[in-house]
Amino acid sequence: MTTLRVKDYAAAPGGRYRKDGPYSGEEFRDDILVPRLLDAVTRNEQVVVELDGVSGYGSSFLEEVFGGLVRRGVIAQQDVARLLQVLAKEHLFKPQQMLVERYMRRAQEMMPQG
Amino acid sequence: MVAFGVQRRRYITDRLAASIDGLCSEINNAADKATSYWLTEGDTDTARVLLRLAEYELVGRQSRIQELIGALYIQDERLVIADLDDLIISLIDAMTGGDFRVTGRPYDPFRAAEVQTVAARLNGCLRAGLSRHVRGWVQRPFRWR
Repeated sequence: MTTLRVKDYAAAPGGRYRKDGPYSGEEFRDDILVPRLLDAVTRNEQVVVELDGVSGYGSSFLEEVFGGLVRRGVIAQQDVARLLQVLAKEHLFKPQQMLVERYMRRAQEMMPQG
Repeated sequence: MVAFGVQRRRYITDRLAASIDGLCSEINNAADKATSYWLTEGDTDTARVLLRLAEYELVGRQSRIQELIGALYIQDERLVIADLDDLIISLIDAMTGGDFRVTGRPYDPFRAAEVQTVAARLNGCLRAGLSRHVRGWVQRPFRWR
């Protein structure tokens, strides 16, 4: 199991896209999360992303990271739950954890079937 | 002894009602701020500065609402409010989802309206939850007989 703490890479998470400034969702997904996930896939491990400890999230950051991950097909839809777990230990970030689940579910629903 | 118990329960309920009032005000203020944000386009330097300011403020208000809800449950551990979690994440999504912090985004009347609708539903959900909680407490002694 590999644990990835968002606060280690983006203490103050930014916007959705790289062009919108530092610590964007796109940057976190493409530069940090995807390489870790692909590495974990080869070792058949799970990546745990911890949401705690940052100064607050714009939901667009979370949508771009996790919804975008599903939309881009980085990991197969049926493997998402097995390979990726998103956690919030602090109660402050529990809603963000639920929001991530909603974004990933929505992104999966919008993916073409088959 | 019974009178003391009733008074104490009443005090707890009054404090809970005051906290819910405060929370509803916080939600409404945040929703109004979010509506202004979504209806503003960053087409001038001044507007862009104001939008940037609003973005930090909205994330802060979001955290404040989340903390206040956490405090509610600590205040009365038996409090159960149906649909609260779902509505809170809908509010957070409406406030800071979509093209939040996206440079040059167009104004978004849908999101501006959505945030008001979700805030209104949250107000109703919180107040109805309090009423059910109090009613449950009043009816409970009769049910136990």
